[in-house]
Amino acid sequence: MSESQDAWRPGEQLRKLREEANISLDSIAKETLIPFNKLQCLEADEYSKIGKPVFVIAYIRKYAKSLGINSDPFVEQLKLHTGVENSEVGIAVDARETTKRFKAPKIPALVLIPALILLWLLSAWFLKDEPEDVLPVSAPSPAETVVDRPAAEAESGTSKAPTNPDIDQPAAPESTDSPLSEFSEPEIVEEQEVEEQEDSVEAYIDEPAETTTSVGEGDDILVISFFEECWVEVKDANGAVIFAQLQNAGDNLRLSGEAPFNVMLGNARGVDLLVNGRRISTEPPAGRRTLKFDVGP
Amino acid sequence: MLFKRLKGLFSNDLSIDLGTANTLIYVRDRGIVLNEPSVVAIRNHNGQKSVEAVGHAAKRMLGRTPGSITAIRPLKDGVIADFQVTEKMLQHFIKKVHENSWFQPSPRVLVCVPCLSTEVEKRAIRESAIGAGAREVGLIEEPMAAAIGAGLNVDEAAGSMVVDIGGGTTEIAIISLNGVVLSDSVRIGGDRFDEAIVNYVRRKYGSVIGEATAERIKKEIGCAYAGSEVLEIDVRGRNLAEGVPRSFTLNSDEVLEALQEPLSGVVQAIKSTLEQSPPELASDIAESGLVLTGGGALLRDLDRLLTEETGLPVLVAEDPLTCVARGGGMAMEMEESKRIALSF
Repeated sequence: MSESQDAWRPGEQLRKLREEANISLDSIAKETLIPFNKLQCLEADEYSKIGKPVFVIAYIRKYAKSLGINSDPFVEQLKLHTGVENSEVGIAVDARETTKRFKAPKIPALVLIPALILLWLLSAWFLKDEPEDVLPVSAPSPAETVVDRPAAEAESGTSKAPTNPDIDQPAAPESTDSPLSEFSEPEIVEEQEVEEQEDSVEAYIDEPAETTTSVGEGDDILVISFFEECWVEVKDANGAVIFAQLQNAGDNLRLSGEAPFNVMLGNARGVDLLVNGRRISTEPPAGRRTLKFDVGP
Repeated sequence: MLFKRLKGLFSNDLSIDLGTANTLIYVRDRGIVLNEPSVVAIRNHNGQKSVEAVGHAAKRMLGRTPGSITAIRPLKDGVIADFQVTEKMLQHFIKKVHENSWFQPSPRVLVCVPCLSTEVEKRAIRESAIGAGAREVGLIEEPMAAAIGAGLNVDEAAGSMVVDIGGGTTEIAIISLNGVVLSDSVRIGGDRFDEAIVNYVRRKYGSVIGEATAERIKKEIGCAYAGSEVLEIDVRGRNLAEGVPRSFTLNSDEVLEALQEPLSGVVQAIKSTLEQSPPELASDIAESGLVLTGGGALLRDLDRLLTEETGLPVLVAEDPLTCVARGGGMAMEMEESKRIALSF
């Protein structure tokens, strides 16, 4: 410790002032009732032997007062002195300084609010792609696309799908010459069934009915076979929803319209998809079940 | 509830010294941020009451209000005397310390209460703080908070004695191992000192002075020990006989004479607590001394009087006015590190 620091030690200074005033330490102890040994420690500037800082400061104040001098400079010096040698006495005078050690980081509102909004937007965007959470908003009424319907039922005309009078019945044989005849799944689509399916699609889907009827005019054909339950939504090149419904395993769906189609599948691994007879891979990305894609003619 | 928690993100933990004379608020990481008189001015307009001013502004109105405005001190003897006004006052103060906040604050609040408060009084304080917007309210005994704020060794197996002389009450406690071993509370404080001065002046000079003047006399020349330096002050009051304002000079010996009665009450309470203290703790106190906190500790030479009366070293804590509020804040931090249990 340097000489200048020694000169400013409060205990040492108080001792010098006491000796100059010719007052014994014993008389100060009697007046202040501070234990004699603690006064000795104070004069020796051995604060750690006195106790907590509150006592050291209070003893200095009482000691100075008994000498009839202002105690403030000594207390200030003590704070300064112990600030230099904190490890010696462990004084933390101002509670505000000690509390800084416990400072817990607070998130400012300026950061938190935009972060929450961003999180909400991201989650909204993410959930939009999840078919499980998407409700079929104004989806066209589902077509009874069950191709495996009992033939007897179809023949007896008990089908729920009414026949569209706009469609010429002889058109059916012609349709065998259309691109439909090139389908690689003749075992699924039988001629009569295709007719019924066309009828039913037209009957149950209001808007796409026109698209279906234009099959014979060379529009593009989309055929989806389902071997697992799957939600499907198909839009044509104009963005109009041709079909949107949950399909069961074993169902087959044939749609016609203007390519490119925008197809969204809820369970992409559970379907087999053909566009104009061309098989399209429906393998979703790793870890996902859904697939949304555009497919051309 | 969830919204309150969300709002809590934007609020700071507060320690409130809800005193009879002054209310102090300690905010974590910021220290003492509010120190205002516990006074509310109420305007009564056609039977409808509204808050006119709170704190310093309201205190300036004390004794100077027209008929339509009433300046109220909602706390008396350390406890709530007017529940609704206390709630409004707390609401104002909590808002004031959260001025920069976007949301209405919903902080965790620790309120310091007199150690002999009844359950009804404690409940009133709790509900008042909740009504003022607090998310959670905890209570801590004032002497405990004062001891922590003064920097005493409350968590050691050693006795510490603290005397907190507030505006309405004087709290005396012996503390060891983070708990109050022995405590007493007397309804004598700064207000009683002021009242004694008012009565003395009326008796001796036949003049009436207000509470604010009495407080100024106490602060400027008041003393508690007979051998202290004699100081004087010029006072103006209304002469009772003539009915006009008259000025006269009052000295510190006269103030001491006026304060004799309340001071002897404080001394008696301290002696009584010491008599009941367990011998081991009494020995610790005799060694380390008795620590004074609260505004009353600033009364000149009160430590000398108590030293003479008790035979113990009597020490005045640094910044005694803020010890309770600071101690409450430090107690909240100690609770986080599981060093003390608070009842939230």
